[in-house]
Amino acid sequence: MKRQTLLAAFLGATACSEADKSTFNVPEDAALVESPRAIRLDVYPPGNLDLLPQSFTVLPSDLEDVFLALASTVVIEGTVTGQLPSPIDITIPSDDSTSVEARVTIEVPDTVMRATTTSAPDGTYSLALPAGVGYRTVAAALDPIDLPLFIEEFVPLTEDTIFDIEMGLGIPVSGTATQTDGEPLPSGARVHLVDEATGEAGPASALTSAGDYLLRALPGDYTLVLDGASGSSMPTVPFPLSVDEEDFFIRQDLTPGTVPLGSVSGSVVDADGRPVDDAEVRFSAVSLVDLPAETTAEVSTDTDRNGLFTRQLARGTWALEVIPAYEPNATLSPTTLTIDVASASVETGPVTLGPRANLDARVMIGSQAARNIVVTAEEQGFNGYTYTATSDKDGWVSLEVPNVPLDLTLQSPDADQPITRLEVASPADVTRIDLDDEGSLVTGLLLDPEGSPLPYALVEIRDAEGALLGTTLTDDNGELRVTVALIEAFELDTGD
Amino acid sequence: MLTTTSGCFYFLPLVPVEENVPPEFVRASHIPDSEVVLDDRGAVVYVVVSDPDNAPEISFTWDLTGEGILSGAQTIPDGATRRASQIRLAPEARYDGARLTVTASDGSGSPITVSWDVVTLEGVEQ
Repeated sequence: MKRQTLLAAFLGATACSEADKSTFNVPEDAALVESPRAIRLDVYPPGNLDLLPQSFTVLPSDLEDVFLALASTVVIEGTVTGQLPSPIDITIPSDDSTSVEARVTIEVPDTVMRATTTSAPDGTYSLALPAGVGYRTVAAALDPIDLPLFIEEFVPLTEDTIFDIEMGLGIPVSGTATQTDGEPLPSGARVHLVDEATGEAGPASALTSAGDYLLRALPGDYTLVLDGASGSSMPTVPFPLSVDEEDFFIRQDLTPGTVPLGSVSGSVVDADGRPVDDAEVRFSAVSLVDLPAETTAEVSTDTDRNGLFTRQLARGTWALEVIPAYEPNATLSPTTLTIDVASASVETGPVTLGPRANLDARVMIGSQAARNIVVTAEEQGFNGYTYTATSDKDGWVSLEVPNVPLDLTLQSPDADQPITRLEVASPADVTRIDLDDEGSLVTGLLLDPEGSPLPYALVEIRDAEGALLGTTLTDDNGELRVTVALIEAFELDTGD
Repeated sequence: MLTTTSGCFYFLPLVPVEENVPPEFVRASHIPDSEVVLDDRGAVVYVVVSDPDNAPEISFTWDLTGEGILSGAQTIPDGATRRASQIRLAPEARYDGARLTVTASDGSGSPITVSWDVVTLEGVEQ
C-alpha cells in the first residue's frame, strides 16, 4: 500500500499549510495541493473506544490503498477573557481583564472534527478533539455580551493543550436602527456581526426602545446583520461593514426601509376537510415591500388542534411550505403555496394536504431484477424526511411516500455495487429504476493511534460538497472496500 | 428385538417447509443496553444484523422514546447476508434519558430489537 497516501490524507483533512511540513517531516520541496474536488472520508470509530470522529481527504485519482490513521483524542482547556471598557470612554479598555462566558467552538471546517461548549462564568472551558492541525477556534461572548467575536485559524492541537482566549475590547460599532420614517422596527429586532471570511456570527445586540445598539469588532470585513430573535417578525437585512486598524469608533445607523406587518391566518385540512393538528407552516419571503432586494426572512408556526395557524409577517410575497408531522402511519403529503401579504390582515383559507403516493417500481441491473436493494426516498425541500423500503426477490419495491419531488438513493448490500442516485418529480410515475453499474472503488486500511488495524468503524465517503457517495464498515482486519458512486479522476496541471 | 408389522402403509409426499430464520444481531457501534452519549456533535449509532436465509427484505426502524420513529436512517452495505443501518442523533438536550431502539425485521416475524439509553452531556444544545 502507498504510505504517502496517509500523509496526503491527514494533511488534507487538516487544511494544507506550508508551515505544517515540518510538523509531519514533509520534504520542503513537496507540493501541497488543496483540491476543491477532493473526496472526504468521514470515520466514526465504535462508540466504546476513546476515539472521536475524524475526516480525511484524498484525491479522486488516489482512492485505492489509502491508509487512514486515526489520531488520538486530546483535551483542550483554557479560559476566556475579555476587556471591559473604561467607565470614562467606551473606546478605551479598563485596566483589568474579565472572565467571559462564551460559546467556544473548535473545528476543522467542512469536516466532522468539531467540538463546541459554553465556558463557565469564570471563563474556563474544556473540549475533547482528535489531535490535528488546522483547527479554527471561534468564541462568541454570552456574558458580558458586548465583546468582539474571536476567530483564530490554523491552530495546531496535536497534544493536550492550554488554549486561553483573550477577546480584547474591540472597536465599538454602534448606531440606531429604525424604519425609514423613524418608527421603531418590529419587536425582537437585533443586530449582530458575521465575519466575511469564515461566516462565523458574533453575539447579537438587542435594540433598545430607541433602536440603539452597540457591538464590538476586531479589525476585518463583516456583514452587519439586522434580524429578529426567535418569534420576531423582523426580516434579515445585511449591511456591509469594514473595520480598520485605525478605527477607534464606528457609527452606523441602519434604516432598512419600512416594515409594515400583516397578520396571516388560515387552516390546514386533509382531503376530507378534517383539521390537521401539529402541521408545520413555514414562511419564506420571496420579495418584501420597501425593503432591500437582499433581504431574507424565514419564520414558522404550527397548527393547533383545530388545524388553525396565525403569524405576523412583513408585507410582500411569501412562499409557504405546509408539512404534516412525521409519523409512522401518516397519510398526508406536504404542500406549497404562495401568498401576498398586502394588508393588515390576510386569510389564506383552508390549505389542503393531499394523500401520499405509491412508488411501485422494479429495480433492475441491466436485464436482471435486483433484489435486496434498499431504496431511500428523501423529500426535496420541506423537512427532508426519508422513507425506506427494500426490493423483493423479483426486484419490486413498494413505498408510500409524500407526493412531492424526491431524491432516491438505491443501495445494495453488495459493497461492489455503487450507490445509485436519481431525482423523481412524480413518485407515482416511476415504474422502473436502473442501477448504475459503474462506480469507483475505494479500498484502504484504518489504523488506530497505536498503528493497529481498527475493525468495525463506520466510514462515509463524501464529495467536496458533502454529498454521500458511499458508506461501509471496516472489516475484522480494519480494511475497507466499497464501490461508491462514480468519481471522475482528474489530472493535476503540472505546468509542463 | 426387532419386530415388523404387516399391512398397508401410505406415505404422504414430502413437502419441504422453508422455515424462516429470523435476523441475528452481529454487532453495533455501541454495546447493546449500554449508553449512547450525546456530546455537542450528537452521535452516530449503527447496528449490523445477519440473516442466515438471506431474506428478500430486511427493514430497520429506529425509534426514540418521546420522538417516535426517526427519519434519516441509512443502510450500510456489509456483505451478502449481513445488513447494517445507522442513525444520526442530533445534539438535543431533550433526548437525555430517552431510549433508542432499532428493530430489524425480515418481514416474516421474530424481529430483533437492540436498545440503548441516551445520555446527553450537560451543556449540549442544538
